[in-house]
Amino acid sequence: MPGDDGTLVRQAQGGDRRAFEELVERYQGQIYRYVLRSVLDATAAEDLTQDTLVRAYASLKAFRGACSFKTWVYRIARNLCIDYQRSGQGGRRRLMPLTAVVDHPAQGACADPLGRSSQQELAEQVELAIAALPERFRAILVLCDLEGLSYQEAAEVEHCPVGTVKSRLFTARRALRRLLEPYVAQGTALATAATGGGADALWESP
Amino acid sequence: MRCGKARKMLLEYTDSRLPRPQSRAVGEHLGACPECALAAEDLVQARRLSSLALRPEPRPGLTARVMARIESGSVAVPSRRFSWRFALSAAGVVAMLIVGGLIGYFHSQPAAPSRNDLAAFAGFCVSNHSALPEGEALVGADESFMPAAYEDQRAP
Repeated sequence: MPGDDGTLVRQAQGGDRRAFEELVERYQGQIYRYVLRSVLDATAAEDLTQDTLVRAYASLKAFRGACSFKTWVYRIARNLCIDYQRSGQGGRRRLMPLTAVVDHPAQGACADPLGRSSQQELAEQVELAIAALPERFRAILVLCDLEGLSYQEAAEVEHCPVGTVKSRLFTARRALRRLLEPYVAQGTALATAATGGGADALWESP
Repeated sequence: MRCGKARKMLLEYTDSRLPRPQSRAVGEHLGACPECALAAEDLVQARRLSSLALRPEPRPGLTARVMARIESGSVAVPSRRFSWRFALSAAGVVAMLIVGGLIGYFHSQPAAPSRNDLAAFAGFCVSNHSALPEGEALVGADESFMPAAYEDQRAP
């Protein structure tokens, strides 16, 4: 069912469950990844993603469109993650890469086995570096760089000014770069190979 | 452009989110400032590296499971849970208000003279009275005790 979020939300508010299903389909992946990076537990992440979307449906009548549906759902997910961590269900957060939690091939896997193994090793190092960032920096990096939210959207999710988002993202990227110092050359080559040169605009310094 | 100003715009510059005139100005600065150019390169490299992060997907059927929960009708708007932290904060504020109110109340009351104050006052009266001519009142004393000889000095 095509349609922008605003139309689908209005239809869902009017009782159209198919419209809400489309919204769920659209955002479940993003919400799942966001939650997973927060709780570092695949089962808990899936439960919390379900809870987030069910709660969004339950509260849909109260949604007035002051922000986008996407940032609203992210905010629900964020609050549930905070509740989950406060309740102590996840235990103390350990420094652990996402590669240790989910079984997933690295992005843009190479055909060559040697390249694939070095790519997986690099992905593990990248995940470890992301996990090592302090929560407030990691959250912004995940939202902006991994999930593609704008600064404004990230500010709405994290409930902070846009300037704070920019400052945290700046710090997070520089910290990530420092943590991955030994892998920069390899990462650049692999990232370029993985994108097949199709994303040159992203990699080239403006 | 100075380094401080350029640094503030570096993130948006590397994300290509700056308007063209500002972007050109930052680019010119980077051409002349190796330190800022290095900082910009760090930001770009960090983005490259983070693009290698995993993008895991949930198990298939998540949408169906969410919709099944909704269809089952067990969906209720969550009420705010009782929070001990909130309750303790509220109790602390109330206690502070009560203590503050009591302190303010007692400070606003005229202080009752203590035994020491009364003794000192009595001593003062006795010593002054003996120095005055007989029947003379203390300065500032109630005029009702003023001798008849001073009647004409009484305030109208």
